[in-house]
Amino acid sequence: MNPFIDMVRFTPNEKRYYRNSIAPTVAFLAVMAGSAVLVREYRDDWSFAVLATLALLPVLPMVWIMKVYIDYFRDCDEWEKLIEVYGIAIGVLLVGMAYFALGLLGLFKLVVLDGTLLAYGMLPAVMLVYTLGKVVGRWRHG
Amino acid sequence: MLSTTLVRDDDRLTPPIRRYLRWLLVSMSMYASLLVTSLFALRAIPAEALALRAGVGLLPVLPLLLLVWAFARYIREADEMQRQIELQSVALAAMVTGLGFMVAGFLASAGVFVLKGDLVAILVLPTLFGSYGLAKAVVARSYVE
Repeated sequence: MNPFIDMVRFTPNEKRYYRNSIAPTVAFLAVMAGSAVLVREYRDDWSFAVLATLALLPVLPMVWIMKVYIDYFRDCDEWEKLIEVYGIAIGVLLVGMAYFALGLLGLFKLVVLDGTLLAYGMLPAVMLVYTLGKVVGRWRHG
Repeated sequence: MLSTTLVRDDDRLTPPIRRYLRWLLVSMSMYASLLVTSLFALRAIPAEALALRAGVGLLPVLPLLLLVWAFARYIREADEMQRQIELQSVALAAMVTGLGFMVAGFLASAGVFVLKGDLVAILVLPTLFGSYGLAKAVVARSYVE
């Protein structure tokens, strides 16, 4: 069993997951772009509450993406579930440690960090490293 | 009921969790002392010695690596149910924390508040640990019921 090759051999459940992910991902990108443009254009004209609501709109498709993932997770068998959570655990621990190290460097004024970018980047970073974690999980429990 | 994930029926901690708690205590003590040490040491190191300052500034990461290693060992040694509960809790905590930070990022970009970079970066791991504790209570309950 090769954990790297198995990453690109999809089960019917995985195929369904990737298919179902397309709509919320497109929705996320569209809403994100739309809300960014609107907030930038009308920052001085619209009220604070409207701007905050607009800024939070991309969270809705993000919750949809998570719902699709949870549905996929429920349909996984026991072994697949273990690999999934293995991937997330490794991803989040590595990203958490990297953020903490960056934070220390920022705290001691050794690097300048952009808080907004870091807050945005946390979830995508976990999602990227999660793939690596899945390879490790498949290798250990293959 | 929740404690059934950590203890035996006779209410004693299982050997893996006992080992993990011992390492947790060691790493947290090391973390606290290294953090204080590096804070004081950085005052004495000149600003030009950037590499040395970075090395000393990153010292508190070492005990956290030890903690991650101890957690990984605990996961390896735990029985199937314990392992499922721990990993599902970490996964749930990751989702909640990631979503929370993303919400904060959206609000900051809209100018609702200003996020300090170093504060955001430092807070990720403690937020994760906190939400992991809460998630574990939820996940463990679903296994016991």
